[in-house]
Amino acid sequence: MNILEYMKDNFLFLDGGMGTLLQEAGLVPGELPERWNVTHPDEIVRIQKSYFDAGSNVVLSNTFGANSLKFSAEELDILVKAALMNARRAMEESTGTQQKFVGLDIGPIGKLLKPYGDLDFEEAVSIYADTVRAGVKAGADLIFIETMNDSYDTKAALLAAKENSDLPVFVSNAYGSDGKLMTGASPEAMVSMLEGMRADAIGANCSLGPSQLKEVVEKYLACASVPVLLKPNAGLPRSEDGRTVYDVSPDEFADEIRALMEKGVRIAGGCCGTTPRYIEAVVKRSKGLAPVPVTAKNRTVVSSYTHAVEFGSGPVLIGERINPTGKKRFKQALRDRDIDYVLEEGIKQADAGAHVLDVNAGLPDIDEAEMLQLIVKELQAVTDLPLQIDTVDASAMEKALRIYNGKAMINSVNGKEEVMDAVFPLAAKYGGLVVALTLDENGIPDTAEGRVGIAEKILCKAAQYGIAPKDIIFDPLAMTISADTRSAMITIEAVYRIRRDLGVNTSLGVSNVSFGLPERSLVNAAFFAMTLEKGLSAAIMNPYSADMMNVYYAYRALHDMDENCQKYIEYAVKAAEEREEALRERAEAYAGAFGAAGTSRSSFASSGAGEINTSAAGPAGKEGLNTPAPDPAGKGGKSRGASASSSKAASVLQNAVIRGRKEQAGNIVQELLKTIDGMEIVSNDIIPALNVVGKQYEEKKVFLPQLLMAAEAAKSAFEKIRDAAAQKGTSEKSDLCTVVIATVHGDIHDIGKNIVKLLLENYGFNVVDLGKDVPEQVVADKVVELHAPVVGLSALMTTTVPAMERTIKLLREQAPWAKIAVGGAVLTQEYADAIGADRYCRDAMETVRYAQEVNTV
Amino acid sequence: MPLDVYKGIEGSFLEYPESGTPALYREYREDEIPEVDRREVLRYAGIPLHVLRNKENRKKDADACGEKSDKTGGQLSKSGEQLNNSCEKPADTGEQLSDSGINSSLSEPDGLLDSGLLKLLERSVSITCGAMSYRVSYIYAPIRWEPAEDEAFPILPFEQYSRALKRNLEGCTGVVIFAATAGAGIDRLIRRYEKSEPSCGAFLQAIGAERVEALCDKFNDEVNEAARSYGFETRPRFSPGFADFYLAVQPEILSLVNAQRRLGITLDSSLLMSPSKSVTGIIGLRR
Repeated sequence: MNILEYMKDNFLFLDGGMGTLLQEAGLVPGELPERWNVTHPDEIVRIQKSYFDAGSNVVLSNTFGANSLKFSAEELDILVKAALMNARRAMEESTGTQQKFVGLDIGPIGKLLKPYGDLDFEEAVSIYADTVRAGVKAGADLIFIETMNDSYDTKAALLAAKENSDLPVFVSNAYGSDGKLMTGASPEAMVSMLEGMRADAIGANCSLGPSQLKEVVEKYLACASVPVLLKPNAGLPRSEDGRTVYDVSPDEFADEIRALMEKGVRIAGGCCGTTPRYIEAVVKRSKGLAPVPVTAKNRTVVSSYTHAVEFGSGPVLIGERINPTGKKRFKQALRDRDIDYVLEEGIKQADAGAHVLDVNAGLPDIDEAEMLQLIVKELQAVTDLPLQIDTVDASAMEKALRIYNGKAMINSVNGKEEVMDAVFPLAAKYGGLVVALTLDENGIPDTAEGRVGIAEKILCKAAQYGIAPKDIIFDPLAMTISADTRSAMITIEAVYRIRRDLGVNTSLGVSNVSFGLPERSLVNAAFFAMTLEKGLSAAIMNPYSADMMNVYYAYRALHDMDENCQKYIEYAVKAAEEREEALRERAEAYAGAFGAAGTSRSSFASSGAGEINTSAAGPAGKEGLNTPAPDPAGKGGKSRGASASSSKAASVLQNAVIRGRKEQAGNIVQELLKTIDGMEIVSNDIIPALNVVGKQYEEKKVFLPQLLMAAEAAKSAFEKIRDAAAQKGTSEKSDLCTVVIATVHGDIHDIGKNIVKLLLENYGFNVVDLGKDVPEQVVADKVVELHAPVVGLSALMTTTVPAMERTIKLLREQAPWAKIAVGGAVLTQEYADAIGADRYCRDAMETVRYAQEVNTV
Repeated sequence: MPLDVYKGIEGSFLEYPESGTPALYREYREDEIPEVDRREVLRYAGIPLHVLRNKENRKKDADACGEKSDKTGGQLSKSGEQLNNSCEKPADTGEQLSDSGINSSLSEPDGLLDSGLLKLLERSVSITCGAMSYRVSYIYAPIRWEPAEDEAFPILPFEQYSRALKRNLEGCTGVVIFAATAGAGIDRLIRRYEKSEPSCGAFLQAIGAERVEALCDKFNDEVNEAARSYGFETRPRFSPGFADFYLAVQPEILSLVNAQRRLGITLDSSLLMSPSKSVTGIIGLRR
């Protein structure tokens, strides 16, 4: 009998701990237990038989650590085959009359995945795949993935199981006492992801005793639509007379498990510290208990690596800002592969209150699939919001969904057969909440009925792919009222009917409604409120828009979704404070810019290349900065023309940069830009200010955090200048040279390199950041392509210095003109000399100085 | 536990998590660990101790700091907080300066610690609130001293031999081997803020380093107390990465305390731990 069929009407009992029993049988610490399958088969069979005798329906093969990272392909095959043979033999020799199955046990590889660790996601998938294939070949009845304490690793294992077998797959995670996985995932997030990927049973094992896992299990039971499994430890280990013992006895264990089976747990066993006696007790104690039926929960959810977001219980805000459409600066960032710019947009939206982030990287002249995947990878490392993958390219969609750590929103399908056939299989494989636009081959119906009709058609088609209505969210398309004044009402009607008649969730790109009108956010906000009232579940919107956020918080308060109006009050108070702060900053900036008319001065030295002597003006932020400095380099003497009145502002700006006042620096520049050219502000004010800080840093008068604060303030000033340039359609590229920087192959540490990048950019260099773990040839190719005169390489570990040496060697061959600076924790002058670098840079400032040196030559 | 068990151990993988004697486990609530020591954080952030001192102590401390900080580095720790183990407790930090003490140094003529910096420090501390977890997994193991020539060598439950460790364990009859972690949450925060606000990221790094050290101190205190009650005294804790006790021992130590399963600590190919704010160490016990 198939195990899934058996489970429909029965509890399923698993086995218990293996490690302790193996040690009792003579396994010594450090010995790989998987080898015992071959060297001590009788011991393994004896233990496994004792579990079947105790009443286990499923015994897991002794393959927890059997993976191709630890064993050669050949040995892996042999061990897995022997392990399953042993389990089968135990099954045949057991006198137990219950239904019996043999599961392929898979534990974590023990490596953390990128970007936090150094194992690539696809590499992890292929390591798990090796074990899965060996297990399938050896005749397992099911695959049991357990003790996973990271959601990404879990996804890799489940994907490998699904792609390499048709066997049922059970997935069990190890939760900490905080009720979360080691890397932060909540039970709701795991249920969302694992069900989306069609795991057959899910639950928790290891780490704690049954009573400590109670809350986790209850959360599973509340949201899972598949059977829930539980396989706890025999409590926690403690020391007793010099021996380690677990603190829950078999009878207590069985009582606690039974209580959870009464609540709905369908599959039970034990982990560390449990023995056949525990399983026997559990089986006995649950006699006569009727299994609680497994029911569909019909929750519409998406998830990130930490949490799930549910639709239908309050408006969900989907931030729309990661999208190049109509944004020159964003397009430029994508072309320059300036991922940091994109990431900041994500972080800012999260701070502004978005619940989900839409991610769109569609530009005709870039490789969208590759860019989208890159952005998703990087974005999910810096924000814990679920993502909505937004592309019309199905292959780009698949690439992004594959490496997404959670259950994503899929934006989008529509009523066109071709599109549904391309996208639904992806949703079925990777999981996802599919955004479905109510249009088809015939365009967008101009009635609500027409749009509801398409929605029905889409639901039918989805069902053919096994996708339930809860995993579809309809977008009945907001269209501008400036083209057709009836269009908003049609959309609102469609939202209402889809919700009422089809019982599913809806989403809208609300901003479209006001296209072509002035003061668009007024219309958007009113439209948002109207659609929410008709049952809209989510909006793709601009979370920076105060008007939209006002509606969101007020709506929740008015709809009794906000206890004591707490969230509204917090929001309102904070918004008021921020408004005041902004007013004050602006007033200051304005006063700074125009308050001290008439005092002309000669400008500071410019170009960032020369050794600027403004530090002679004294300690940071002292009045001395107002004193005009001579122009030692003799090339800063450009007339400031109309800007003669701005010297006070300039000094305020310099002070703001030196003091690391980000907002202030940005605001002043905003004002200055009304009268002065951006590049002039850079060379006359920002660079000299940075020089003051840089000099003080070198003299150990200020320290890294202060240097960084100044750099951030300068950056915020630059952003304003760049935005202004983008508006005008020009690009404010300085005439300084290009610097290519990278952390060398095999090294995943990029802290130092990022600081170097920030500072180099501050000083006006065109920095091309190749990231971390960069192969030699990639560095060389880029340097050749750009004919870059300076290359900066970083390595943190002794183990990666050889990679640095290889990179230098390759550069010498292929880009002999390039000057190479190296840095990183492990490097010294001697090291740098030994591997043939041109310069060892102790810190980021030294790298800037070196780049300036090369630039002037 | 009989010591012979450890004879002839080979291989240095992160082993089967259930292997070895089940390690003991200790988890601390946030309020059991002392509050974030701002001075330590500033020190970890690269601001030398003498800047943080009261004027009168300044000269003396500058010397002490310069001398000792060289020693605490170990072979790899040029930038201490980027590496996992901060080795032996670094230079004695002397009497604690209160917050107001730090602030008072602001008014000093050179104004090195600007109020914006301290504001950022406070904000960074508040960002980490609730993001930390404090967990330790450990075993106790007896040591046997194997006589050879004119000196004796300690037989420990791992293969690697270190002269410096041997010196540290002189006269000891047992050790506590532990791994401690402040959790993965701080690594997420660091990554986020290093992108959006590197100055804050630098402080988060420093806070993480301070937190895991505070955790080790707390755990060490408990070990000291337990040891004392059995008539033992403890040696200063000693960590891989220090002197000739190379990081290569990490897989064995993590396996001994079942760190992957209990604490979620993994190693990368450079033998660095993740979560990065984790420490392994050895505390010698002697009569």
